[in-house]
Amino acid sequence: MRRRYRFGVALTVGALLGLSPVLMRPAFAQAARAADTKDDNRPIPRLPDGHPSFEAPPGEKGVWNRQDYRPLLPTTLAETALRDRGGRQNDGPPGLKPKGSDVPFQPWAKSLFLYRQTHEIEPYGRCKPAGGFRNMATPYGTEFVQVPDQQRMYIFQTGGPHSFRPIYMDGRTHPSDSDPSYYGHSVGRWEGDTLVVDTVGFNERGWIDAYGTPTTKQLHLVEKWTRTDFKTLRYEITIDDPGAYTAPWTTGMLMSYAPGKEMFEYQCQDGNLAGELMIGGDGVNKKIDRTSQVAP
Amino acid sequence: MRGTFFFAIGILASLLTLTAGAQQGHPLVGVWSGDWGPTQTERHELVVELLWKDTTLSGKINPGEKDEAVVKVGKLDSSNWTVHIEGEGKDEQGKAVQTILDGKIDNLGAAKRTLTGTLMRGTTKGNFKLTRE
Repeated sequence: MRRRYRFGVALTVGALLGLSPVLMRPAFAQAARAADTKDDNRPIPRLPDGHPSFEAPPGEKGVWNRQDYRPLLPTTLAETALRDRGGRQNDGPPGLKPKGSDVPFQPWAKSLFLYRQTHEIEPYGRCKPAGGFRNMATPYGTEFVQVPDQQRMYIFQTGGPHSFRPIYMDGRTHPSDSDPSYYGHSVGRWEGDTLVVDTVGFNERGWIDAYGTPTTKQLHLVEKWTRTDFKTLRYEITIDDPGAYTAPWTTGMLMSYAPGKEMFEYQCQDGNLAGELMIGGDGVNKKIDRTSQVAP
Repeated sequence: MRGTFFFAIGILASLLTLTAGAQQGHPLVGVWSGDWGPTQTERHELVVELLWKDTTLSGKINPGEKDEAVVKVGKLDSSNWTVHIEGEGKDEQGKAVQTILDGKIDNLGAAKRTLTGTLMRGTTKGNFKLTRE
């Protein structure tokens, strides 16, 4: 009898121990959520030099998430054909995003933009890096790593091709002979509490947003980040590309701080089922149907 | 076995070439290669190298060859993706000759899109087909 009693106790204790992570998880999660969210109204964190920090406060976790990823406000379907891709759409503060009809496209750029609304899947969706707006509009979180000692910072994105983007804050200028690249060459400075980053040297292999806004090698971007409060980052981008537009134009979006979230290893290539779309076919012997809005 | 290895290397090289060639800017920019000729049997190699800056198309037809021509006029009608290019060069006797291409871009979204149409070189008229490299 006593042996049976002991066996029953052992079973019960074992079961409780085994289940403890499950049973206690809600309590832990609640506590963690409380710790993550209780100070949303606290002051903007600052670096030792007094400039705003875009990083998670020491001892905490957090990433920045796009509030939407649409660079233009739709006007008429024929004008912009900005399709709703099922994501969150947030027009942001008034004046942040232009109407599609207000963008000063050159004729070829507008035709190509409209063509892309139904005929192409963005290179980013095929695991190509993308700078500018698309870099910020990546899914699953963006992390800024500020390294004042080295006078530079890095932007890491979780989604996409598992890459990072350096921004040099040491006063250097752009090299005159840099090889064109997906992210270009970025130099940054502070204007008050706003980080201003100037980028040139893009190749023409990526889109700067998910909607196919065309650019050329003449692209010059000026991006501004302002942490307007603890949980909000205002992102503004001016596209100056005389090869595609008749004048510079500006758009942007808001980003939200996601406390408690961390970057994780996301390998675009592993999950990508559109290998052929990465190549695009040879256009002669093998044509790829790129009319689908969803990668097969 | 050895054949399989080289076949695999060939496939890989092709993929790398195609990937490296992807270009998303102005649809005409790049190197286009193919042929032209007045008949199906009389064909000549044709290479067109095009650049775009601000609002101007420039470039060369058959760069580095004896019949090289410099692009003087380049127009793209993006409502239907038709192209008009005029080049000026010299023939093999050193006499000035004009080359005019009128064509249409097909498979616009592909890295290796095509440009086909008619070509007039001096008084010789033919057709051409180019593929973007």
